[in-house]
Amino acid sequence: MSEEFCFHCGLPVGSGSEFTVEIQGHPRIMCCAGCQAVAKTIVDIGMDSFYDHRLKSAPGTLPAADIVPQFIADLSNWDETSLQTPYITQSDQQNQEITLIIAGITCAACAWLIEQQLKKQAGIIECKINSSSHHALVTWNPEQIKLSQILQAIAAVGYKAEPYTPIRAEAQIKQDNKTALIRIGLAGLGTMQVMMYAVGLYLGAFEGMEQNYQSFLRWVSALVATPVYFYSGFPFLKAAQISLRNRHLTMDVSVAIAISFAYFASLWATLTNGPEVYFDSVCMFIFFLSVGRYLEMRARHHAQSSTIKLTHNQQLIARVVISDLQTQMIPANKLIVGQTILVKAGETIAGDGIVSAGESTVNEAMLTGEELPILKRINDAVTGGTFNIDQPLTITITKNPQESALATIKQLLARAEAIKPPTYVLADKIARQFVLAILVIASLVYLYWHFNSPADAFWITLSVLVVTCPCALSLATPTAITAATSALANIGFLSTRAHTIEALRSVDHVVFDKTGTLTNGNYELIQVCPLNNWSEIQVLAIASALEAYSEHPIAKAFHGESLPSALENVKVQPNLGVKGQWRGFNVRIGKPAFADPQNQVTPPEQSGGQWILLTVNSEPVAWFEVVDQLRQDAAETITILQQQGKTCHILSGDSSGHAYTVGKKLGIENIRHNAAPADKLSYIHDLQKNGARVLMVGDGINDGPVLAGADVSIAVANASDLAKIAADGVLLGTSLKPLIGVMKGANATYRIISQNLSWAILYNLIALPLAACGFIPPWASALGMSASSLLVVFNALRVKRIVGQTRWT
Amino acid sequence: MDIIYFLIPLALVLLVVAILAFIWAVRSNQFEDLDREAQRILFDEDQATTLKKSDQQNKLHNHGD
Repeated sequence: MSEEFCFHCGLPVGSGSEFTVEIQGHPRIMCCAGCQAVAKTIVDIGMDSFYDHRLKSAPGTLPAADIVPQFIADLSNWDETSLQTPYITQSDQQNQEITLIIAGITCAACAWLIEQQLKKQAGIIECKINSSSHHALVTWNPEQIKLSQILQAIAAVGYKAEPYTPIRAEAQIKQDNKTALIRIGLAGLGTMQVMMYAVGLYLGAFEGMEQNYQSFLRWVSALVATPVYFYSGFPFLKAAQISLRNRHLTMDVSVAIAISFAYFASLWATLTNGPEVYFDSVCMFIFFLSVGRYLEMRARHHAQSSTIKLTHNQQLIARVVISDLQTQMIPANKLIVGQTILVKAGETIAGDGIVSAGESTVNEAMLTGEELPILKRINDAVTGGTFNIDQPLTITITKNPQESALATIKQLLARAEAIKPPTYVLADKIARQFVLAILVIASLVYLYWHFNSPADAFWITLSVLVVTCPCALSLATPTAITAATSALANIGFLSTRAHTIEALRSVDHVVFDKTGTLTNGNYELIQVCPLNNWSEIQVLAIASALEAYSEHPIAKAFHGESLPSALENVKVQPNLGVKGQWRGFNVRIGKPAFADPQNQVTPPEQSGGQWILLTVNSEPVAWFEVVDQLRQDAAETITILQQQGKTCHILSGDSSGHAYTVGKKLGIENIRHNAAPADKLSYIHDLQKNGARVLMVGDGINDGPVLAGADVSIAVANASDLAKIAADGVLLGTSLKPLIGVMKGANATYRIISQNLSWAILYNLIALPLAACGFIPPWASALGMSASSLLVVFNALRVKRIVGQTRWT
Repeated sequence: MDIIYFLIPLALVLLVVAILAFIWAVRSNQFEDLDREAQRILFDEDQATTLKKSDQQNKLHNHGD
């Protein structure tokens, strides 16, 4: 049977999954109970057409298993008034209003589904969800429904929602967007009008026209063009002024010179009955260029707001101990040194401190990359952001949130980012030379005609400037990058920086982190070695029954093998193993030293994995080998990357030999293990010193600095927030395979940018001499300019198709 | 041809009205989420067909009028 995929989240389903839901008359297979519950809710509220409208196999769809019961239980915290207050505004006498940020929205259908779900709840007055910013504005009546119930309703259809305060940058983005739209609207409407008058004027020029009609049309054109020039053209004039002040020539200088000359010369011609007016060209330039700029700005804003979204840390909540029986919840960033907090099992530790009571294991993977939990006793130091697994801990805070370990790593990251090698942006370099050339040529043309035919000199120079206005040139890059950004998002890659796509093209070395990047952090049982006449089935049955009591990542490797046998007096020893009684025998499973403390047994030969021992009445009965699973398509991805001529490396913080086992399996020879964050950074710097362009793929906080230091970097979907901030792009799904499409897309984009630039330059090379000789009438220059701009835009749109094809190859 | 002295100013007035309408639309957040609005009509239509089969027939009937 071929591999099946969960109908809800698109993850592969293990064979024989018993989770199904009947949707639109067909039983559909689900990967887990979470997806099943969500799908059922969706069907129950009559929204099954959601499955028709959503993007099929949208990358980054949250498997509902992500919405763990713990998350839902924690939602009730939000009913505490002290936590709510900063987020809520009183919309009128009875109703309250809040902005939520929702994770997992991939298309407009998601937003629709959530809206419908919320509208069905009693007490919700209004809800508006923006499918691009993922913000929801909800108004509700607190007497009828609680905030936690609203969040739970959203979780029931498979999305995580959290209260959110939009930060200043987002308000700014919104404002910029509106201003730009109004400028474009004005320019567009104005252009249409002025073009109509221009047709009249051209016809008049051919067939004769009475002077008073001509000057009337000119005056009306001037009237319409004036607000277009001053309001819609303002950004270009302003940018040109700035770049002149910085003595740095940009495309804006050339644009501003062309439109200003054309506008004022036309105004002069209108006043003095001069030979030509160019109001139509002025408006059209401004309109086309504003549209190009707007597209570019939207791509930039999209990147910016995705970074903001990615870096929106889940609000950590600290339970401050007030008295023996009482705790009060406050936001973690309000903690002060000396406060005592209680961290329950399954909660994230809110701040840096030392354990003052309790004993538990803590997962520090986000900090060290080490998936295995670490035992914490009284007086051990714990770090904020790490995860408490089995027992409650009482912690005394020793550092202010601003000085915490997390904050320190963030500073290291900022430093690495500051010395990041600059990306060579093709268009910038060309623009500088182009603008300089045009200015020189225009002056030469003016001088020539000044001596030969002074009356025409000004008008011919003007026509040179208008014809060479770098409209196509300045549209060449932004349109291609915009098209590529959206096409790559469709195959599961989110580019979060403007230069990412151009930088990816030149990459020749790809460096992977091991844990969490090449592997997925789930342990897998790969070998069972029964001893002394025990059968494999027997030992597996006992082992899986024991491990069923533990939530340790290694224990989870046994959870699938469920052959339950009756156990009594089971006790989980944090970080060591599990013991219990089976048919009257004492059974223990775990580290060799725990399972069999008396005898020093040695495991079978060492091979990258970890050995777990099972004993019955202190007699060793079986060895189990577990390893961290490789991501499903890691091998395939690496092979294709190598075929494309890229050298692959593994950089691992892990001290075991597992990195070499993984390397062998994937065919990677360059391996460094046991590397601290600073080692990783210097490894990359060494490569860069030898002229390599490095792409780093990573996930952990410990990868942050190296992600920031590489030429270009990508964080995987389940990466820590910090890694996502540091990276230039993020993979949205659980697969590594989009990397290949991303590489192809980057190459295609670069090719199209060069084509566009070549075309724009060619066009100018042809038009310039003609204009310099005085052969080009205004209508021809306008036509040529629009045609070449359109050509560039349509060429850029091809990126979408090229990237789209790579999706299935 | 003197009619243009009347028609063009009239067109200009309409242009100003169009620009003001556009500015109003932008300011009242109508351009915030373009993906969403493009698809909204599809969603609601479908919901009607799946939820209320009988209603739908009535609707078809009404459309036929």
